[in-house]
Amino acid sequence: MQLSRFENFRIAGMATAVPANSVAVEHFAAQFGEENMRKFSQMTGVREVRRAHPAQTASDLAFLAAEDLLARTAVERERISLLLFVTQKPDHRVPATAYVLQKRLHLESHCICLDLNLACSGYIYGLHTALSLLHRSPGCAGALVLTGDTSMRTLSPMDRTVFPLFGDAGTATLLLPDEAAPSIGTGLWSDGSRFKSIITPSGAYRNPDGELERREWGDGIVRSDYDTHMKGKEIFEFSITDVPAFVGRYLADIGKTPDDFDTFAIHQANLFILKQLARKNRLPSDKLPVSIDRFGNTSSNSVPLVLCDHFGSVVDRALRVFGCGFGGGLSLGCADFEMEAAQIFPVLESDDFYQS
Amino acid sequence: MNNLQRYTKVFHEIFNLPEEQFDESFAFATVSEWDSIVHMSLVTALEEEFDIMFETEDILHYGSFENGKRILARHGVEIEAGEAA
Repeated sequence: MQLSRFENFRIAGMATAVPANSVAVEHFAAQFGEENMRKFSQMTGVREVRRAHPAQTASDLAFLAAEDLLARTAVERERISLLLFVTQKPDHRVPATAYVLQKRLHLESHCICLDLNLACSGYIYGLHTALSLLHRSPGCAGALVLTGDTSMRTLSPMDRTVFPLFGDAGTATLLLPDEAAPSIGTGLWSDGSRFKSIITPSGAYRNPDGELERREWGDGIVRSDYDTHMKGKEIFEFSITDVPAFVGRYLADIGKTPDDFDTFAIHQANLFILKQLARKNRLPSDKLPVSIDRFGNTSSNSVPLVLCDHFGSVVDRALRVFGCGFGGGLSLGCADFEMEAAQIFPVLESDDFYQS
Repeated sequence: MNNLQRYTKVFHEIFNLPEEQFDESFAFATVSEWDSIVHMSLVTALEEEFDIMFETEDILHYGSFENGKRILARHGVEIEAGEAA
C-alpha cells in the first residue's frame, strides 16, 4: 500500500447530485422474481436506486454537483486550477470529459483538466491525484475533484447480480490551500493481476469485434460482451478478506484506532460486506453511515454521497473522517481527513442534462 | 426438529429446491443458483438458525452442503448423517 500525507490543503466543500427518478427494488420482481428480490434487498440493503434519464450522462450529474458546490462556497472560478473527473462513463471517446466540464463550468484556460478511469475506489484515487498535483504545482490555487457514474449503461437488464444493485450519481469536492489545515492522508493499493474480476470486455479496442447479442454465459446469466461482468465470487472474496485487512493495516500505519474518527465513509458495495468490514475492524455501527438503501452502489460516488446524505444538514461540527473505496482494477484506497460538516451539502436531485 | 432437519430447512428456504436435492454433490461450483447474493443469504440464515458467528474463512470456504456440516461442527453444531431418520 502506497501511503502519502499532504499538508497545507483542506477539503473546503462537498456536494452530490442524483437523478430524481427513483426505482424501487420491487420493480425488478417481474424480471427476477419476488422472492429473489426480497432476498437481494435483505442481503445488499438496497431498497431503491436512482436512475438517470437516457439523455443524462455521468458528467451532467457531476456538473450539477459542481455548480451547487461553487454556489454554496462562493469560491471564485478563477481559483480553480485543476479539474479532475473520475468516471467510467465518459461523454465521448475523445476528448476527456473534463474538458467538457471545464467549458460548462466556465473555468479558465490555466486550469489543468484530466479524467481518471476508476470506479468504486475512484474518489480516494482522485483525492490523492489532485493533492499530489497541487503540491507539485505552486501556481495551483484550488482544485475540483468530480466523480460521476451511470453504471447502468453497461449492465445487462438480465443480470440479477448487478442490475438492481447500481445507482447513478455525481459528486464534487473542493480543495483549497490552507496552511493551518490538518494533514490529509491517503493509502492506495492496486492488483492488476485480477483485472478481469470486473470487466466490460468490448467497446474499446482490445476486443473490437465482441458479440453484441446477449447470450447465456457460463454463470447462467445472459449478457453481451459490451455488458459489465462482475465475477461475484472473486469480488466477494476480495471484499471480505483483502479490504478489511488493508483497512486495518492503514489504521495501524497511521497510528490510529476507530476511536480517533467520528465517521467511516465506506464504499457502499452492499450491506453484508459493510457489516463484515465493520465486524473485522471493530467499527462502531453508529459511526458507519449507510446510504445504499436509498441510492444503491454508486461506484466512485459512494464516499462523498454517504457523507452528503448523512451530514448535509449538519452544521457546527468538525468531523474526523475515515474514507475507503474498493473495486475494479482491482484497487483500493483509504483516506483520513478532517472537515467541517457545514461544508458538506445536502444531496441535490435533478434530471437536467447538457444539450451541446 | 434435529440439527440435520434444521440445516436442510435453511437450504430449502434459500434455494427453493426439494430437500432430496441437498446431498454430497450440492456445491457452489455446480449449482448455478448459488451466486454471491445467495451465498450471503445462506450464511446469514445459518448464523441466525444456529446462533453462531462464522469467521471470514468459514464464509469463503463454505463451498458445499457437506462441507458446511464440518464448518458448523467447528462451531459446536453437530449434524449427524443419521439424524433425519
